[in-house]
Amino acid sequence: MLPSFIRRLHLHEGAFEGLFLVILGCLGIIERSLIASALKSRYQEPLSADKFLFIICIALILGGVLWGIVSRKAPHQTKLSQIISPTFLKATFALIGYLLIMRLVGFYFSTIIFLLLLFQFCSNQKWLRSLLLSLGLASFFYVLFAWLLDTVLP
Amino acid sequence: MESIGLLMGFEKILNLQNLGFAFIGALLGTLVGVLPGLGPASAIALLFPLLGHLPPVGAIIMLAGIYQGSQYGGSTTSILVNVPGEMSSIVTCFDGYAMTKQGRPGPALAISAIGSFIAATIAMIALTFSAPLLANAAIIFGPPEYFGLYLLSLTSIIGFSGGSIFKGLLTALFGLFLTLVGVDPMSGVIRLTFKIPILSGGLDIVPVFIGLFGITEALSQLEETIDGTVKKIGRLMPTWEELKRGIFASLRGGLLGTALGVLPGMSPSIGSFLSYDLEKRISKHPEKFGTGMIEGIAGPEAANNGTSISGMIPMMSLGIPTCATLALVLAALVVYGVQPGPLMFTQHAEMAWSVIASLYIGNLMLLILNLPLVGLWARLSLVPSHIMAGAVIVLCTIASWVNRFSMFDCWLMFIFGLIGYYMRKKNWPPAPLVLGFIIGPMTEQSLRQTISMYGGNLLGPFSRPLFVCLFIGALVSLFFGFHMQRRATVMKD
Repeated sequence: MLPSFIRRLHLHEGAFEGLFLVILGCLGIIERSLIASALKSRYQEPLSADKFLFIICIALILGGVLWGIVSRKAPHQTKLSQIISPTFLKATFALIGYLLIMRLVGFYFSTIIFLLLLFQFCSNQKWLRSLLLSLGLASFFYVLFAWLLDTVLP
Repeated sequence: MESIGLLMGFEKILNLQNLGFAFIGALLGTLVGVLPGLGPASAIALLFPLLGHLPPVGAIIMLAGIYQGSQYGGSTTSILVNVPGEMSSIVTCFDGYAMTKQGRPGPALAISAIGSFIAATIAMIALTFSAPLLANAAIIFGPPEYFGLYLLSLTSIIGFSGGSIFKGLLTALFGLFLTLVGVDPMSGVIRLTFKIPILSGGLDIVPVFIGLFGITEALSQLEETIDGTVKKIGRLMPTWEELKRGIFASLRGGLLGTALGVLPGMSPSIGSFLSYDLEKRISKHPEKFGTGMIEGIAGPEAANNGTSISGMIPMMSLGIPTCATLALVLAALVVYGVQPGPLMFTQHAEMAWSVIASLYIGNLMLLILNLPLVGLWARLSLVPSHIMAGAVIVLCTIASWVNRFSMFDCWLMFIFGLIGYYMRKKNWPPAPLVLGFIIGPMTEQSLRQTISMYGGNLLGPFSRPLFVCLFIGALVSLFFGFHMQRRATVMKD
C-alpha cells in the first residue's frame, strides 16, 4: 500500500530526528551570521539577540548529533516507513488538497469534497452515505460560522 | 482582601449573559472532553474560534467552563464504555467500568461528579487565598529570579513529563528555537524569517497549538476504531454508605491533587494514579480494587480535578503554566489582553477575580449539567472515529483561518499537525515543546537582562539566594526525572 519511495526510506529513526535538529541548528547559524552585522551598529548587549540564537542553535546541533548516536543503541529500532500508515498518508493528501483548493472553490465546496474523500479513504461506507454526511457536516459548519457567528470564511 | 476581590469577580460575571457563557463553555468542554482521545488541551485549541466572537470577560468565562468541562468529560466514557476520554481518566476505568458491568453505572457517574465537585472546590479555595499572596511575593522578583523560575518550570516539565529526559530536553529546545522566529523585542532585529514577511510577526501560537493537538488527534483517531455499546444508566444516586466512603475519598483525593497541582510539570494523570495508589494502601480491602470500589473512582477523579484547578495558582500568580493544557489557557488569556503573572492581581484585578469567580460558577454548572446528560455524552463517545476526525479537521482549519484570516496559518497548522503526529508515534513528549514555546520569549528576555545586569558576568546571579534556590530546584527536578526514567527502565526489564 505504501509508495515505494517511502518503503525505500529505511532511515533509522534517531538519524532522521537528529538530522532534523542539526538542519534547524545550521539554518539558525547561517541566519545568525546575517543578523550579526545588522546588530553591530546598535547598543552592544553582553548577550545579544544573535548570540542567544547561536547558543540555542549550537545546543540543537549538539543535541541532534548526540541523539543520532545514542538512539542507534536502542534495541528496537523503528523505520520511518513503519510510522507512516496508509490511512495517515491518504488523510494527509486529502488535507493538502483541501487547503490547496479552499481559496479556489471556497470553504463550503472544498469542505464537502474533503470530507467525502476522507470518509471514502478511511472507512468502508457507501458513497451515498459519505456524500450525505459530508453535505450535512459542511452545511452545519457553514451555518454556524458564516451565518450565526458572521465569520468571513475563504 | 481576597473575599472582596472574589465578590468583585462575582459582581462582574453574575448576569444572565455571562451565566449563559459559563453554561455553554461547560457544555462544549464536556462535549469535547467526552470524545475519546480529545483531551482538555485539544478542547481548548479547537474551541478558540468560538471564543474570538465574545467580549473579553465572556470569552474568559467560557474558557473557564471549557477547561473544567473538558477535565470532567473524560470520566463519563471511562465509566460507561471503558474508553478514557483522556490520560487522567484511565484510572477511572478500573473500578468505574467494573461498576457498569455490575449494572450500576449511575452511582459510579454520580460519585465521579460529586468527587470532582468537592476537589475542584478545595482547589478553588486554595487558588482564591494563595494566588494573590504568591503574586505579591513575586513582585520583588528581578530578572535573575524570573530566569530561575522559567528554568525550573522547563526542567520540571521535562523531568515529570514521562519518558526520556533527553527527548524532553530536545523538545524544549525545539520550542525555544521556534520562539526566535520574528522580531526580537529587545533589539528590534528580525530573526529566522528568511525574508518571508508574514514570519516577521513570529509563529502564531493558535495554529501551532491547533496543529499540535487538534490535527494530531484527528490523524491518530483515523487509525482507531471505537467499539462498544451504551449500557442503561438506571438509578443515579449511590447508597448512603457509598456516598460517605466516596466523600471521604474525594476529600483525600482533592487535597492530594491540590497539593500536587502547584508543582510544575505535574499533570492531572499523575495525581489520579497517586490517589488510586493511596486509596488502595489505606483501604481495608485492597484486593477488591478493580472490582467496583467507590473509592477507586472518587479518589482519582477528585485528584484529577484538584490538580488541574490548583495548577492555576502558579499560572495566575507567576505566569507559569504547569502543564500543556494550562499553557494553552495562558495563551488564550494573553490573546484576550490578560497577562497572567505577579501584576495580574494589581493591573488586571477585575479580570483576575472574574477568572476565579467563573471557575466557581463553572464547577457548579458542571454538577447540575452533567448528571442529567450522561446518557447523551455516552452515545456521543461512540460516534465513528472517521466522522469525528473529519469534523475535527474542518473545525481546526476554521480555527486557524479566523486567527488572522490567512491561509499561511492553515498551512502552519498542517505542518505542526504532522510534527505532532510524528511526536506522538515516537513518544516525544509535547508538553516541553508547548512550555518552551510559551515561556521562550520571557526566558530569553530575563536571561539577557540578567547577563546585562551583571555586565556579562555569568556567575553574578549566583549572589542572589533566591536565584540559587531556584537553580538548585531546576537541577534537582532534572535529576529526579532522570532517576524516575532509570527506575522505569529497570522495572520494564
